[in-house]
Amino acid sequence: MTKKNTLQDRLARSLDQMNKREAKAPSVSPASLPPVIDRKCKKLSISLFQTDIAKLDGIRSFMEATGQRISISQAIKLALRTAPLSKDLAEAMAAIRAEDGRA
Amino acid sequence: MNILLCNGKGGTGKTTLSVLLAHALAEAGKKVAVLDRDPQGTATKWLQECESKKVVLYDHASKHDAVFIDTPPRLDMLAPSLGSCSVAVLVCSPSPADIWTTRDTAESIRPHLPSKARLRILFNGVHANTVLARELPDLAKRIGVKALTTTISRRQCYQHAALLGWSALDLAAREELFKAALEIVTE
Repeated sequence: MTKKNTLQDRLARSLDQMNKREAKAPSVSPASLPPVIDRKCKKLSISLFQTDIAKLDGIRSFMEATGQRISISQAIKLALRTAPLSKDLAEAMAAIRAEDGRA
Repeated sequence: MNILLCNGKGGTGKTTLSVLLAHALAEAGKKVAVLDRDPQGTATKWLQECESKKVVLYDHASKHDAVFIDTPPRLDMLAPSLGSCSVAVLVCSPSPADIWTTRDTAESIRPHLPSKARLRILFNGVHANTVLARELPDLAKRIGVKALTTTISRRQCYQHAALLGWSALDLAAREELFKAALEIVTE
């Protein structure tokens, strides 16, 4: 038997032993894992008026002047972060966070 | 058995080692899954592209001998994974910046781990026979977390494995992965 096989055998036995021990302690079980987050993008639609687009262009120009190219969606997120907090804004931010899993 | 790989810092090798350690256990004949908790979904893409289907993506309806949980480099997103893990492995590069972040990560997650869960450090990207490599056990002691005696070397074949799968690994790479996996699953 090669050294590699010996290592594999020991690995398999060790895992079996640990799983047997854990079976006696039901608090740790694979079934207790929370469900996987569905990271499929749920589309969020927002309406942008001419004034909003002008402001977004302003944000993008400002960022580009500092050497950072950003997309429209990134500019929208930046704008939302700096806007005064309201109930509508909080809901929009929550929807955006849920969409991509990141703040 | 649920094995969580984490670190508050990105680029330490959590995803690479989640997938490769999972393959090591699969090569030992075990049914192994990876639960990809990172919104970047790199582990998911890796396993979807991988020709070998020995390691699967986690499915809560299936029974697995071991589940490797890959996490994003954000502590606030770790909470759902911590409560169910048997071992939390802090993947850490042998650099002072990574070691400081690892210490912070250890302090943050320790209170949220199940009482019987173990916390370990796995040093990744280690250059053998260097002064830093020799000092790693002492550095781990300073953090207050036991380090695995096996360290993962800096090898190009680990990057190739993302494209070519387990077959891209040379014997030395496979051996250190088997040894690291053995230490992780052993009390």
